[in-house]
Amino acid sequence: MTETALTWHRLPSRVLVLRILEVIKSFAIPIVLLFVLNNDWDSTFGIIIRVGILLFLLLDVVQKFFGWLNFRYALDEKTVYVIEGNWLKKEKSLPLYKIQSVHSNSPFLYRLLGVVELTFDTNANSDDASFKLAGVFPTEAKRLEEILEQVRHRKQNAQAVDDSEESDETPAQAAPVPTRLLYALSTREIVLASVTSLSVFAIFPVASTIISSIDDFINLDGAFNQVEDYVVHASIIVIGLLVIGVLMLSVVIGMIINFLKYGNFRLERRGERIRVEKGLLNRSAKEIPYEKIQAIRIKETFIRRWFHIVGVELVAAGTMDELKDESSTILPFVRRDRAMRVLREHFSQFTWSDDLHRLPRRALGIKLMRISWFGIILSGLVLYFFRDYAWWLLLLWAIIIGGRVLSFVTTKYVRTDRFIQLRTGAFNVRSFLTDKPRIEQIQVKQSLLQRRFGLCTVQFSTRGGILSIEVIDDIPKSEADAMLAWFSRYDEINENRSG
Amino acid sequence: MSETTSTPEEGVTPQRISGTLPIEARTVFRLSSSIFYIIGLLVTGALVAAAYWFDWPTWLQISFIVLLVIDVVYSLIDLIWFQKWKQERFTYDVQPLEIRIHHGIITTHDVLIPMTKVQYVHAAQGPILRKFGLQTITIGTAAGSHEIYAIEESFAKTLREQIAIYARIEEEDVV
Repeated sequence: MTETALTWHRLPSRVLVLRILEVIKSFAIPIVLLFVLNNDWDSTFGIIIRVGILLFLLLDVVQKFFGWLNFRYALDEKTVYVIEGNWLKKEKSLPLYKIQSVHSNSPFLYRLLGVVELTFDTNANSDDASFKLAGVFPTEAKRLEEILEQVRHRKQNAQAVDDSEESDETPAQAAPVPTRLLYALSTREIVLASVTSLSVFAIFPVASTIISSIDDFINLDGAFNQVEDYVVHASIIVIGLLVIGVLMLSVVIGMIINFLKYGNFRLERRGERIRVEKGLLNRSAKEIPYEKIQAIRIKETFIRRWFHIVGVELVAAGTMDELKDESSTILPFVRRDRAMRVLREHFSQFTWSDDLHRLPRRALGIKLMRISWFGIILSGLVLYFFRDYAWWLLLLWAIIIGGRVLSFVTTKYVRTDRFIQLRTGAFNVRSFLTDKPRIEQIQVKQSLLQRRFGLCTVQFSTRGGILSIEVIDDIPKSEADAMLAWFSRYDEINENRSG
Repeated sequence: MSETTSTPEEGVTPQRISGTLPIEARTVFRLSSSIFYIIGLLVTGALVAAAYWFDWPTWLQISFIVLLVIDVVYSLIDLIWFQKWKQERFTYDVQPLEIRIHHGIITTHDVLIPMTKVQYVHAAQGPILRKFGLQTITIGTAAGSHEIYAIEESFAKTLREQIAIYARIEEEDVV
């Protein structure tokens, strides 16, 4: 707009070092293979492939250098400008008021060099609508965030008239919004989560597969058979100790992974935005504006349910970025009552109900009657090829049928005048809550079998992309129709329905 | 804060456009699906021929023949009845505040989209549709899109414009 002299910034020069490190990292496997493990320059082919790899590496580094050289950004008080591109110069400008949230991400290499990656997100769904500063100093990041904060304030003040509900609680002030810590994950919680993770038990099949495949490959002269012999002949106590040892090992591994991923996890509230920070080596911070929250989902895994540990996710409208990582998880594994307290206090626009309706008894019938193609095909294969293991099928069918009964028991729903709350799943349970204005569409499906039983499947979608679609199976037709009528903007919907 | 049923603004008479697909849609459906069936029949036919030509094991020959028979029977049923039902059972209902689409033969679908959530309306026309002077309208929301297949061209235009007016899809950006 105003053609005042803009001060153009490049990313700091150490970002160049970072880029080169990244290139080397991405070439690490071929480099190790070709120059360390198997460094022979005798055959022509060997020379060609090695020179080729080096050339590629060089080319990539040169490209990264010019990429760094040609990337510049500037901002005045209304707009941010970006110039980038080696062959094709691209100039972008983005009005600051459109930027909804800033995510900072610092992978290990970034932290090593003391820079962060900033992603500026707008409301739009296209790729062009967000831009990245891949490597700026934290002070610069802070400066940019402060500028955005000011812009947001100006906008809020301008909009103060429109804001009806939310602004009553927190009147817009010119002063910087205080940050409130809503939740910090404790070490105890991470340990408990690692213990209750189902992956603890995955180590047995994994270990036995690895051992047997090693045994197949390298004939260890039955060294493992000896171990097996030993195990078979060993006393119960030794076996018990062995099992416990293996379990401990997997718990420790799980714990390390969880600590790296969720270490120092903090959930904060900054005015009308939610901020999630997490990770030990790769630290990331993500912001979600309140108005982007479409729904809340609570997840309980099979084992953690016994310990009343839940995970809470926000379904947020935004870029595709949000689909691939799970940083919309605001509470990864927290005791149910504490999670609910945070939700009640700070996400009060969504009200959770306690008494939900169960499915009618005939829903159990339909669930049991459905043909399990998976079970039938697996049974067929086992009965045909591995008849010796046929009795394992009993377990398979027990799990299939048990899962269906569980799904009947867990599936619950309630519709209040504003909210729809669903609880679905069999072994892992998930609860979903959203309100009427945020639902994009409702789709009622009825299969042939369901028609017999007078049941329906209802699908709710909000604008959070694929992840936001929530389906509830086998609820009575009358309830499904009531949901449609509830969602409809017209009252007389029921009369106009054609069967 | 519950949704208030706001009345449409001045001048615009609350108008309801509802209906089913025209009878020609049936032919369009049949034509376009027959392409797939012909390909399917060619492939399975080739498999059967190959099985006999190269003397493949008997169980393979038999299973290919069974496959061919299933293919033929299913194609016929689909062409004769399913495509007809697909046309008959598709209903749409466009009102100033919402769109309802009801479709499906074996599994029925009942979709309700509030007008405020509609983001775009497209019209598309493939070669077969063009031959019959029909168009398909796509109604898109942030959560996906829905189609009203094969309706008459000039009617499609009015319907599309009407939805755009109801949904207040405008070109200008919000400042």
